[in-house]
Amino acid sequence: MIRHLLRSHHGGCPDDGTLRALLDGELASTTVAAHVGACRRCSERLDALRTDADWASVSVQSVYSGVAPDTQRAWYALAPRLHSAEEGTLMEVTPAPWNRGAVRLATALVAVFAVVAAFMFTPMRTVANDMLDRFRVEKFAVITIPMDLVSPFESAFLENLGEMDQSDLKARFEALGSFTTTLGMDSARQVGSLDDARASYGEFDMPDAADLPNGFTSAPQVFVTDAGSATYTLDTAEAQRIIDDLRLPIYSLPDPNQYPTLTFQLDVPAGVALLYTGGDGRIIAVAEMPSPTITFPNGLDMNMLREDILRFPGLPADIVAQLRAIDDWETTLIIPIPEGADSRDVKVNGEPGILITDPLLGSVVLWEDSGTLHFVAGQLDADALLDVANAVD
Amino acid sequence: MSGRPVRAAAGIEGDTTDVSALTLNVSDATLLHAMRQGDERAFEELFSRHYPRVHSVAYRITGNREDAEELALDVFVRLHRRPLEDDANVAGWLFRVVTNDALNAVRSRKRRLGWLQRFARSEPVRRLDDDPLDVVALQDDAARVRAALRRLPERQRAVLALRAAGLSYSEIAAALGMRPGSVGTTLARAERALRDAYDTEERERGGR
Repeated sequence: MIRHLLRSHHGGCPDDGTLRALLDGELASTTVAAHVGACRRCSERLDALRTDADWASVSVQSVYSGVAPDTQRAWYALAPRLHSAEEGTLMEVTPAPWNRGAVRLATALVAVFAVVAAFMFTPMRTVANDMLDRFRVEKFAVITIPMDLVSPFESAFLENLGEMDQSDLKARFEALGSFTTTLGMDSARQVGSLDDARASYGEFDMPDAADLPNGFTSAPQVFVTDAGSATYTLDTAEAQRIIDDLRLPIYSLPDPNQYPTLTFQLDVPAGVALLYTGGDGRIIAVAEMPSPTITFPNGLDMNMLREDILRFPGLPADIVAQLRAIDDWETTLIIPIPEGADSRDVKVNGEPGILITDPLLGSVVLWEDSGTLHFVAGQLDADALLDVANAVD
Repeated sequence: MSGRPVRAAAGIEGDTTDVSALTLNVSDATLLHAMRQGDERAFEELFSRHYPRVHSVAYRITGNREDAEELALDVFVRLHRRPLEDDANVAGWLFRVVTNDALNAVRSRKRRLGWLQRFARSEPVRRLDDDPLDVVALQDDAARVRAALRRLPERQRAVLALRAAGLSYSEIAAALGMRPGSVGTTLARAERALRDAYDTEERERGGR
């Protein structure tokens, strides 16, 4: 410390703090910069400060790298707390924002189904079988995804990218295939009553009001989602050229001469979601829909595709191990969950299901019964939520 | 819905529903005013605007992601319960409160478990093709940095954390309750002290 004090008191020279601010562009005046330009001693001090600053910056960042806060997730975690304040609020809280929250949650449910469907991995089929492959959900498996999964992917990808122009590559990816969809993030719409939902969706299961925790409304808000599908048609020859250019270890594409295009189709049936609101702002969502399906194109070697996925650059070894541990890929819905969330196998009305608990968001139970996926989520503890799930019939 | 007061306060009229675009250029003061009028959308906008850096500050001080999330959310709950005056510096208030809370959390946790010890146990992300020797060196280096950070006084550690989280000098000054003119000095000393502490750490480890 003494040397800092000594450094700071040369007549007419700025102190270390001023020079440090100069490094960060925090000085409005140009006088100091002009002085440093003319003063050899200060120029050397500035260099020393820069060395310390750069070293400290790299060191501190290296210790804390890889954690990007998820603002959307945090908002969902925050919202209920705003309305369960232990002390009186100064701000008038009206129900309106929670209606908006409910719509968001319903939309999020649809998104969850869509995202979950997008994460479905390929079914295992024999190569000789040239029939269409179709994936349908009957079981669940959870894999834990590190918060910073993206960065190793990015670095592995960018290494392969080398000198290639990124904007050119982006244009090539966009031209790689055509995507059409009738699925929308806003496709959840509120209907006036349970009967309206039945008219639109058909019969569905729900808990009795008596089975809900204390304080929850007996009459839920009712949402329905329309069926939709998404189709992606890939230009096989161009895909192979990109794979070659990037030197990606992907070997599952068929011969472009035999299969000039590959078409993947995701079908998501109509669904229904019921939202029960508690007096303290918490929400329980009860939803169901027949299993979404993914249809894979002729010509795609599913075994090789699976291996390509497992071998993809940057995929962490523990994720590969988790995926390899799944023995039935034809009917197992693989659900990625972030670190910090827990999951365990459960029985819901005798059917196998999975319970996922996130310390911030709450819990969700998923199970399949006779071709229908059921989903109960809420900001309840796991056992209470499981009780609600068991009451769904 | 609740977006209209924001628009009215911002002098924006019309029936468009794209509030996020409208609030993009609205000042914190305008949002605070709208919030005091009961506009939840204004609070949501403030949250979206400031949560990432508030979380970042908490994480860099506590070194624990779950704690950081809890602390950051708690600060916004407090803002929601007690909206600030219109002319208040929202960012400065948020950073000050979360810094104090994070330091308090670290102090209380120290009694149970050293916060950096928890970090020392965690491993950096490892790539499949990483050279094992490099990985070991990286882990060793990170452990020394953590140990060096632990040697610093609380205020120096905080200023490094706040700067690493991307706060400006005026924001750091507000968070730590110091004059903006003192931030450069504190930061320069903290950076030098970290390096000295790292060297000490290296000598001691090398001497084992």
